[in-house]
Amino acid sequence: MLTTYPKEFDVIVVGAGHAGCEAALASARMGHSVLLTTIDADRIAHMSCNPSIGGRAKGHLVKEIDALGGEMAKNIDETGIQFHRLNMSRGPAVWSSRAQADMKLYSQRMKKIIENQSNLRLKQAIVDEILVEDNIVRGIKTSIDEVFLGRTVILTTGTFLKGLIHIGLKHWSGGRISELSSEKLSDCLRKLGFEVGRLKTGTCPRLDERTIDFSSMEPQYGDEPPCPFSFSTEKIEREQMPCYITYTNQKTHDIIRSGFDRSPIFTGIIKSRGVRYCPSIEDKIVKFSGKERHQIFIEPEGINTTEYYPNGLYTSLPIDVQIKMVRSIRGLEKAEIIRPGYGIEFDYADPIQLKPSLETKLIRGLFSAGQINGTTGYEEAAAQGIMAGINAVKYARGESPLILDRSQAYIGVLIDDLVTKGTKEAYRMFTSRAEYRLLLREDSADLRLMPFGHELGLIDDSIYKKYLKKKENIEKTLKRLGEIKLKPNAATNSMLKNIGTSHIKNPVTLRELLKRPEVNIDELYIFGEGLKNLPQNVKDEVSFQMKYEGYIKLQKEQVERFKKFEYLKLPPDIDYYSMIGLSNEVKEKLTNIKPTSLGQAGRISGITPTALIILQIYLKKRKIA
Amino acid sequence: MSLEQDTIAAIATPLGNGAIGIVRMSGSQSLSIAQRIFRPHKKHFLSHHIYYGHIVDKREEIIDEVLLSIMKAPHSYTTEDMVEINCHGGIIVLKKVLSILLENGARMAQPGEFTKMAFLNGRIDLLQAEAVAEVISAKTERALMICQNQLSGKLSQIVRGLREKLLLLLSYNEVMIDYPEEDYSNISIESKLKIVDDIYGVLDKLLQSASSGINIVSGVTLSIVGKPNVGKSSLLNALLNDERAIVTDIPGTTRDVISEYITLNGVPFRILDTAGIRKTEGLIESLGVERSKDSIEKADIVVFVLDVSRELDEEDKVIIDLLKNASCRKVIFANKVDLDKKINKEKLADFFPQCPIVEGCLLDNRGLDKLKKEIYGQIIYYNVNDSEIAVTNERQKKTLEKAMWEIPILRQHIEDNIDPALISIEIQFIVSALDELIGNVTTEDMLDKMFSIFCLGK
Repeated sequence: MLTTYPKEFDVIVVGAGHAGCEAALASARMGHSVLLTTIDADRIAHMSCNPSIGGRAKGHLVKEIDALGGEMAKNIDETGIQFHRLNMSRGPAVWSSRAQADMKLYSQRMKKIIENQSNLRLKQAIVDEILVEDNIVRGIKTSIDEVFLGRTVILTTGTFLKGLIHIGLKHWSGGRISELSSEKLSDCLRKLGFEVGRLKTGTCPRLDERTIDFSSMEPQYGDEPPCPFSFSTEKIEREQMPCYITYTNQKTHDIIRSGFDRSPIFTGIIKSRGVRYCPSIEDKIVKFSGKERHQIFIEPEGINTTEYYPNGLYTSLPIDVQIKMVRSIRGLEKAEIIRPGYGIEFDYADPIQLKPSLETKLIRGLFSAGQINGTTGYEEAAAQGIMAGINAVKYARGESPLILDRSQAYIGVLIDDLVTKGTKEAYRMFTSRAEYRLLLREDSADLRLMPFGHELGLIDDSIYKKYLKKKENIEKTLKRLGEIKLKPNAATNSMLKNIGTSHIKNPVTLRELLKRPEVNIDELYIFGEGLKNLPQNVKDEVSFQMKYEGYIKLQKEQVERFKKFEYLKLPPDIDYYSMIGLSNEVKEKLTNIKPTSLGQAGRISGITPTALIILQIYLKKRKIA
Repeated sequence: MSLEQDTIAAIATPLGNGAIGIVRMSGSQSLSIAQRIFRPHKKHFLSHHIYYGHIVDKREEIIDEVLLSIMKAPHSYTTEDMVEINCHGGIIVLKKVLSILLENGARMAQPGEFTKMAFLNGRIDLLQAEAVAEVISAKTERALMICQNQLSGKLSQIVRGLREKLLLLLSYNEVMIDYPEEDYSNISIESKLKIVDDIYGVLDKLLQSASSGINIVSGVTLSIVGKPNVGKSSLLNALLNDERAIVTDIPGTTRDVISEYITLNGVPFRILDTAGIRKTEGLIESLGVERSKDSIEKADIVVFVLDVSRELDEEDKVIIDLLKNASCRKVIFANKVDLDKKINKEKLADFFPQCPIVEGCLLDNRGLDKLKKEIYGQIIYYNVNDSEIAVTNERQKKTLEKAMWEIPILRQHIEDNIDPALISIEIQFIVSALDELIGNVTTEDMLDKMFSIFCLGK
């Protein structure tokens, strides 16, 4: 007998991982009723793999989520135990924030936020079915025959769809090593007509702190003071912990090779594709067989635990090999494994089946985000989650979706890549995926996106005021620097000498002076009033805008050209098969993907420039007709 | 219906009476149209076969006895189904056959549209498409050779090679951003610089080939100036006797009624205002200065003829002044050295310090070979072997320059090990210039412009 929950939800989110939490919070904070289901209510926003947030390109995603009003940045700021900005020796465009998390605290804090969010109901349940009528989503049915009606459903199922865990030649069903899997939902997706594929990922064994010899490893400390992720966090208060660096060696590699005959990857038991970008250690030593050693980071999992995470030792080898492998590494000679590393295979749905709003093309009101879309990483999941949450609400309200483009956000790059190119192997964010990196800096995420967040109601007025103040401050400072003109006299030139730059022969504004690579904005206050005590974020932004002016201009021109093609919309009713001059491959791709703009069409792999010209001519003719 | 769905047709041979003439058709309806108008009736045509028969009109009346060549997609010039009808060469016959094709659903092709289709369908790239036009208009065998090299894709291959190298460099750079901790990503600055230098070397060679390549393919305009009775006409005749080229002008490219061509080492030179030279020579010429001024402005290279048996007069000096300020290349021909010299070479060298001065006498053609050598040398200062590959038009040259100019900046950035994000921007900029060169990125307008320079039917 079915039990139907009396109230219809606006949004139902299936899965309470990093994608699901952002989706549920965004929808609820926009004032809509939300149901969030999870297989285990103790594992909200659980860090299944590495205990860290951010990193190259991922840090950008986290700050963008924050600027839109998401939770991830605030959550890591409150629970982080080591903050470090990467690539600081390089230019500001590629600066990236990363932090180690106390994974237990991270999960607990997010759980508390979820539990206390108004409009949001949390329920532990295994969802077996998506209810659909006339290709419109109606709700979900759980494994205990409970029905929840909803106007939209967001699937954020992570690794749980027919999850299959591998350690050596042993394998069993599970969503994570000690959790149930969701065995029926992906069959339901297949029945609805979705193409469902299989991916593989894996994690590292966890080691006991008391058995690690840290004295023989190189410690790695965070930045002092730690720099927060969220634009609303003033200061990181928590005490910070170091990580450690060690390396594998030839002996480690020999031990790993000795286990290949019992490796689920090399014996063919795991057939699905692994993650190219964080490969298992066994994959690494095969692919880079010439490399003598691989770096391993020994990272704390939290303040109140002795568990350490040997980042870089992703493995699904049998436990005896795992033990020997770990103990062959310097500093880990006596290490005890608390939890073994494992591989996991799971079902996903190629995101080529999604619209740029993350709604499925097949079923109206059905959205998906995170690993079900073939991505890897907490940040990638959360980024999709918040967008799916926002767009589910927009759908329920009958409004047009919020779609960020490639020139606005890494989130835009991520989603455009997913829905345009699809995923045959797990997708990870990289800075190199973004074309307009100078405009998409981490630090400018608020300048780019906070107005959206505020308009959606996800950024409250106090934060928004702070943003407006920063913006105004930047503009004022730029103006001031342009107004102050230095005269080429002895006094000026001696001051210039003092700050380590060459003298001037003609009058020069401070703006011009700041363009010199050796001139630091901190030193300019000696030349004029109102330049002292500027906040660091204002100084950073102003310096960047001046020092990179030429390149920023170039990128803005590129963006203009890019937008021109984004604005050329391709109507969904085009019959590509009737177009002569397109190859069959191109016709098939265009028909399947249904790009929304000429720009998107151009990014589909295999779509040639000539095919684009033909589409352009078609659009022109159609407009005339 | 889109433009590309049309079946297009045109007369492909020059209009005028010839033994044969060809009407060409391309597009999905080509074969069915051919079936309707060709007798004996064929149910199926085989690709790459020739059929003998007749073209008939609606009333089944015979229009012409023809050979029908069938080339099915994708193995044809345009990669679409194509039919070529070899007719008798009369203009009326050809026009009649074409009109029957049009009546049966084909559309009149625009100039260059067959080649445009070959490009749009990806059979050739932009460089190759340009080469098609240049092969057709090649005025010398040497020009033809260079254009054929380009048509066969040799230039494209070099450009694609450069592109690959740049992408490799880009990937090194990107790996450094995304995986700085992995030491296998640390390619040394020296090896990156070596790639940049290699690219620079190839671009430099291509650009050096450009002025020569363009001159060989498009030809050079030469003008002979000098006051009356210095021997301009004799020089013209001497050049024409030795090196006259039989070429016709493309209609509309010249306002002169008749132009004569000479070929020096495979470079075509069009001699400006040959009629003017002949007509005014020996007459008291009041328009001499005006004519010289005009000629100098239009010419790529000017031969200034002087009679050294007479003192320099006002008329000479006016021309000298004109030439001094002109940007064209110059060769001075000091004629009549057989007579008493009133002007010595040193004095001329004072006026034209950078220009070759050839002394000679047109009565016995003394100095003529030297003059020709100097003229050629002024135009082709970088030698292109016939087997070599050259840039052949201004568009190609400008795009290459765009790429070239960024290379020293890129090199400096890599050397200084600056922000890799900026290095990527530089590399991508150069890549996009190369893409423009081979037509990886094009706009419709640019294409229209390009393809409109073709003669109809190609």
